[in-house]
Formats: sequence, structure tokens, C-alpha cells
Amino acid sequence: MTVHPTRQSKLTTVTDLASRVSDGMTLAVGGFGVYGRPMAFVRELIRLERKDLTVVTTTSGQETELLVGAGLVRRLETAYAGLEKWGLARRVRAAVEAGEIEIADYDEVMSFDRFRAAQDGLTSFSANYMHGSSLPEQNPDMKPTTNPLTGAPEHAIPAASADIAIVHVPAADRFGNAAMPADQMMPQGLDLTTVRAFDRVLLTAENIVDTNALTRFPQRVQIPCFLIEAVAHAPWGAHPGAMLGSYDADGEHFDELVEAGASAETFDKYLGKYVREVSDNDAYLDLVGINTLLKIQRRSFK
Amino acid sequence: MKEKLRTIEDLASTIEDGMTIGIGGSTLRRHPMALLRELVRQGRKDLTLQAWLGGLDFDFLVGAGAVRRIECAYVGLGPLGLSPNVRRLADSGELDVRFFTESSMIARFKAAAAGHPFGITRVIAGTDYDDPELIREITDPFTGATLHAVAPAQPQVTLLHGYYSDEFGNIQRPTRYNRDDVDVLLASASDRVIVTVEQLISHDEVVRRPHSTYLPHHWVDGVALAPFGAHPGPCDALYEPDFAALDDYLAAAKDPEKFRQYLETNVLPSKNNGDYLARVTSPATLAAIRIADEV
Amino acid sequence: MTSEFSIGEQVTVALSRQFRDGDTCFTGLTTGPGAVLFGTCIPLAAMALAQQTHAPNLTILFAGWSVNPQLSRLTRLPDLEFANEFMSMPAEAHITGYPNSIGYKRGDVTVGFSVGAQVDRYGSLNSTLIGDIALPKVRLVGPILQPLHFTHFGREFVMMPRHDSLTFVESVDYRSGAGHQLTREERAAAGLNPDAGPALVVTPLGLFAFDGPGRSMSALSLNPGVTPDQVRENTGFEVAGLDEAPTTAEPTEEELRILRTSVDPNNVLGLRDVDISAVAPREKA
Repeated sequence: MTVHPTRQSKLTTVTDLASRVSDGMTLAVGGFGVYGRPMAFVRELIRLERKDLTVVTTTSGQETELLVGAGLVRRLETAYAGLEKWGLARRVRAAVEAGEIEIADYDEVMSFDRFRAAQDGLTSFSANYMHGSSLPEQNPDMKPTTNPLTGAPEHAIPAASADIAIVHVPAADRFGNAAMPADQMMPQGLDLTTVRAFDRVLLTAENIVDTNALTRFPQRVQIPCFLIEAVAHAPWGAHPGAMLGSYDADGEHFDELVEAGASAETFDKYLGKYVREVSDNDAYLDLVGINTLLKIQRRSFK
Repeated sequence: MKEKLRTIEDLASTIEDGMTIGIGGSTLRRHPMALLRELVRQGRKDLTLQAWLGGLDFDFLVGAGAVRRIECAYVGLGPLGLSPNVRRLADSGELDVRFFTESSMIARFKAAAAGHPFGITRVIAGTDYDDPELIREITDPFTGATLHAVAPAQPQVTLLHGYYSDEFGNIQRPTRYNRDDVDVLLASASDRVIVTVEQLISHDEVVRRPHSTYLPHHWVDGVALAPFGAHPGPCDALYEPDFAALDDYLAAAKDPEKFRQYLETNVLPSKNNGDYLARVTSPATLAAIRIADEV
Repeated sequence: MTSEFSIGEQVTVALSRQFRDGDTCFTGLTTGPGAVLFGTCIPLAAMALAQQTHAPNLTILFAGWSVNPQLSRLTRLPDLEFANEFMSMPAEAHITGYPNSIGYKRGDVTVGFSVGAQVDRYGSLNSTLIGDIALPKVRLVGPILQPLHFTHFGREFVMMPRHDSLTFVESVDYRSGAGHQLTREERAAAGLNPDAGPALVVTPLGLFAFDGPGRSMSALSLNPGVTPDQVRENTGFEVAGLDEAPTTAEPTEEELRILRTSVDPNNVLGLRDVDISAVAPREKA
């Protein structure tokens, strides 16, 4: 299959991707729990010292912890902010308790539904189950309404909205066609919703492959090139989190991250060591070390 | 079922000086290099190597002074040319070289696997292959034609590098793999088999795809985890060769002093395969050689 | 005379008797030693036991994606949503993607399980914050799926590893899951299932229902050795029917045999290991 020589490549660097996020933007971040988070991108964003960002996720994990702990975030929209078995996201918690960030809480499937509504081009959708909970009181973006057909009391929930979205995938070609793992689960499904829900979508990929490699398995290539603005290579780009089909979470690194979350000072030291004093993802991986990378490696096989 | 999972050091320690060992893979491909590096670290000597198409494995062990004799059909590094260490030690007479044709070397392993006293081949006739110890002229008892008997090749232990294993030594491979592969033949010809694998999987996962098992547990005496264990060579379906690391290796292999330095810098001080990899390559390179289309 | 059994086994058996045949039960993967026993292990064991006793048509939905997993194949309890031992555990179905084959808002789930930091007399649950909503003293993980659990799942079983007056409060600081302050009528008017909401609370001290005035918490049974006064001292509101509550029923020989040989032969769920009558220590904030 021949690709015309003048067809535009969208392959760039992680630095270039991150630099497309400006101060004050709203950023939708892919991944779920501790899985599939675009950590290489997030570390680069912190190096670029962006400010006043609104972060929108289906759930939030270590990527939000780093962004909030580094002071990039003004507002967070999510259903859950934590590190699964490693406990609370301590910097997110500290920032909320200090009034340093706004937080708009949603129910979890409602959080997914916000992305689906965006995918469908809606500005809002209705929910009938906020009654009796504290969510509408805390989150003024939920507006009480009346169902026009039945008269029942409901709440209008805003669709997710973002200037840019970033998603980490197992493999992509230079045009932005991207493959999902063979045994994909819900997080990958949510990532697919995410790439369809926003006008500007950036990808980091574990592997950049030739288009001909993808055309052998088109059923797995669930992200078509025309949705993608740009793509960059970021091997082990979800570390320390897990990447389905590639590697498990790095438990020891999470322990280090959680310990660093105890105070702003200790977190700054962590950011210095793993982000600010590290030039790029390759240097970060050298720091993490091959032995650790091999220990967490877990590739699915067909 | 017996639990067969060991460390690479443990597996290597079961191989003694002077043993006849079989090594799987061919030319550059899928040799148990991590295990061979451990053998060199443990100072093995006087080994006899048996294989079909020797390559990186033979070059490394021969260059490290671990080998007395080799038996195979070819030793070379495919597109990267001849095996420098084997050539040098063969030319100087320090290495005892017993070459066969491809099919007659296969006949040797087949004879051992079948428990036959010798293998039979037609292809030696008319050639200069002459080895009184291992090749004898015989007569076909039915037709009176001249044939040759080849001695069975029965390694005391065969070292293989594979893909996936559970803790019981059920070795599985991916759907797509290098078909030009005689590892199973070598295993069936050997007294013992030890295997390094790229990844450990659960027994449940093995049981779910029984068709993927190519070495059942009762053939396997020990298995060890060795991700990127074939480096700097490739492991089909999982990663390509690390050509940069191969270039460095070959530059050292051309000269005995340089090779000694290569061993002293990269192999002897490394506590494990990860250490070795950190010395000769980088995470970025490992990511670049990963084959991605089976994610 | 029944064999010796642990309090964990006793609570599991009592819980298993609360299921109905045909229930579809949703439990998640909780973490932390007290939470994991109450939030994951006891529910899973109880559901599997119920399948083998009075509820053969009960469906276990584990972590929202594993349908009727073969728990007896586990050698280690998974502690991450998509942990490898969990992904490779045999199950009847895997639910992938969202939306998926669970009609969360169509009543497919008839029993849900939740764990929270605070619960009040009407069963409202709080997983989000302690203190003032505008500027909380303690920010926790967030609402997660609790709003859905308490409105769309048929009966919500609240599993509380700690039973003290800081946890069992007169009124929660934040309602992630709506208790019976949201009345049957209000639920029906919103097009919700009027019978949904908290139905049971399971704690180290006993099992509690909502048969008190205004559908407030009432005692169903107290665990052996637990006195009504002990419950009063550890609860920040009045619990109805404390003095009349029976002792939690003992497991039968058969239920114990099934638990130990069929449901959890490797003791992965740890029902025999932990003395749950001791109130779990509160984590340092």
C-alpha cells in the first residue's frame, strides 16, 4: 500500500505537543485510575511551567497529582482523584483544603457521560439522580431543570469541554492512526470516547510504527488519523502508571510519589528529581533504569 | 506438576566444565545470550557446543575462551558476516571445528531424538566431509549403495531462549514466530533442557491456549525469566536486533584484546541481564527495537 | 454443635442470607486493610456462598467488568482494577468499554456495595469530604459511583469497616450517596426506583437495616459479644431496636464447608485471619 510522499506527517516531539497547551487552557487527559496516563506529556508540561489550567478527566490519578502538585492547575473536573491502592492524591487533597484549586465533582458514570455528550456534539444532557446528594450544591454547573415531557425534576449536566485533549496509546503511525491493545478494557474505551469528543487531540505513543504494520490489523486500529492533530513517541510514557498490554505499575515509584506528597517541600524535591532536572523522556527512563523497566514489563501476546 | 522457576545463575550453575551443550536459535536470532553471559561470568571452560546454525552464541562463548569444540552446519552472523571469534580460533587451531551439512546435522539430532545408534545421510557422498569420529561410510543393506552414518548429536543439556512460560515450565510462543527454528528438535535430542523466557505468565493463561505450547513442562528441567534475553540479537515477534550494540560487539570481536575489554566492561561485572543492558544500550533503544504490532 | 468459625465467616454467612435468588450484585475493588475485607472480601465470599446455597441464579459483577469470576482460582487478591491475576482469572464474561452490557440506569444491578468515610442515620454515605463543602477540612477521593449506587441500584449494602461516632454521624458532611432523606415519593417523582437506596449496613458490631422511624437505621442483629450499649457509645445517633436485636445467626456446618472448600479454598479472602470486632484504627488525616 503506497502512501503519497507529500502526505503530511504529524509526527513531532513530546515537547512540541506540550507546548501547544497555553496558560489558562482546559486540558482533557486520557487514562483511568493509574492506567494509561500520558505521564511523559505531563512531565513536559510541568517543565514548560504552564499556569491556570483546567483539567478535565473521567477520573484522576497520578497525572493530576503531578499537575496540581506542580502548581499548574486552577480547576479540576472529575469523579475521583486518587491513586487506587496507593491511597489519596495528597497534593490534590492539600490544594482543595487550602482553597488553591476549584473542584467540580461528578458521579463516575456521569463523568463518562460528559465525554460521551461531547462526542455527540451536545452542550448538556439530563440526569435524574442528583436528588438527595450534595453534588448540585457543591457543583453549580449542574442546573436544576424540569423534564419537558414528563415534568419530572432533573439536573442539566454540562458536556465535557476542553481546548486540547491528550491520550497515550500503545502504537501509532506518523499520520495519527493508532492501535488499541488486543484485550482492551473500559479505560481504553474511555480513551476512544475522549479522542472523539474534542476538536484538538494529541497522542503520545509507546511505539511509532510504519503504516503498513497497522494495515495488517485494521480491526485494532480504532483511532483514525483524521481525528488526530499530532503524535509523538513516548516509550514507557505512562510510567509510573500501568499501560495495558505493555507494563504494570511501578509500585516502588508510587511509594516514593506518595511519600513525597506529604508536603509541598518534599513534593518539590520529587519534581526536581524526576521532572525539572530531567531534560526529556529518554533521560527520565535512564533515571528510572532498565532493571525497573524490565521488572514491570508485561506484554500481552496473541 | 513440579515448579521449575529458577534464577539465571541457578540454571547456569547446573552446567559443568567439559559438558556437551546444545544451544537454540540460529545465526543472530533468539539465542539464550543472557544465560551464555552468565556462563562466562561463572568461568565455564572446555565446552563442546552442538547446534544447527551457530552465530552470536558461538562467537561469544568461543571468544570468551569457554569452548573446546563446536559441531554445527554453519557459524556466521547472517547479514553481519562471518563470526570473528570462531574464525580466529578455528584458523589458529585452538578450536576443534566439526562441520556438517545442514541436513546431515539435522540427521544427527534426529538420531539422538529417536534413540537410534546413528543417523543416515546421502549428502556426504562425493564431498570432502571427512570425520572418522563422527562420520562413517556404510552400505545400504537392501541395495548395496554407499551411504554415510552420522553419530547422534545428544547434548547433555540444551539451552534455549523462548517467549513465555508458567512456573511449571510450559513454554509458549506467539502466533507469529520464526518458523526456521529447530529448538524443539534440539530439545528432543537432549538429556536435559533449560529455557530462558521473555515473560512469565500464569498457568491459567497457559491452559487457555494449549496450542501455543511448544515445549511441555515435562521436557523442561528449569526455566528463568530473562526479558531482552537474546540481546543484542533479536527475538522474533518481540524485538529486532540492536544494531548499534551489535556494531560495538563486532568491533570488539575482531581483536582478542578488545574482546577481553568488552567482557571486562560489559559482561563480567554485570550482576544481571538488566545491568548488562544498561551498560551496552538504553531504554530508548530498547523501545525502538520493540516490535509493536502484537500489542 | 457447629465447628469453630471466625467472626469474618459469621458476618459473611449472615450477609449471604440477605441476597435473593436472581440478584445481580455489583462490588468494587477497595483497598486498605479494613476496607478491603469489608468492601471486597466479605461481599465476594457472601455472593459466592449464596450462589451455592439459596441463590444459584445470583450474578456476581466484580469491579464492574468481571462476571461470575471463578474466585477459587485466585492465589492472591488483586489490588488494582486491571491487575494481571485478575484479568487472567476465569470468568463467564468480561464487560469492556463504556457504555456496556450493564444497564446501570435501567435497573440491571439489584444489589450494590459501598464503603465510605461517614454514614448517617438515614444511610446517606460520604466519600468526598469532611467539613465544609466550600472549603473542606479533609478532601477525600470524591463521589466515585456512589450517587448512582444509591439511586439506580436496587438495594445498597453499606460495608463499614469502622463503627465509631466519628463515622456514624447524625448527618454526613457531604452526601455522595443519597440515603432515605430522599423519600420514596421523591424518588418516584424523579422517575427513580422508589425502593432503591441503602438497605443494609454491615459493621464489625453487627448488621443494621432501615426500619426505624422515617426509614432511619435500625438494628437487625448484633455480633456475638456486642452489647446494645456498645453500639450506642459508638454511634452518633439513635439506632432503633437495639435492645430487641438478636445475636447474628451462626453459620451452619454446610455453609462453613462450602465457604472453606469451594468458595475460598486458598483463604485468599482472609475471612479467617482478621478479628473484625476490633474497631479499625482511624488513619492519620
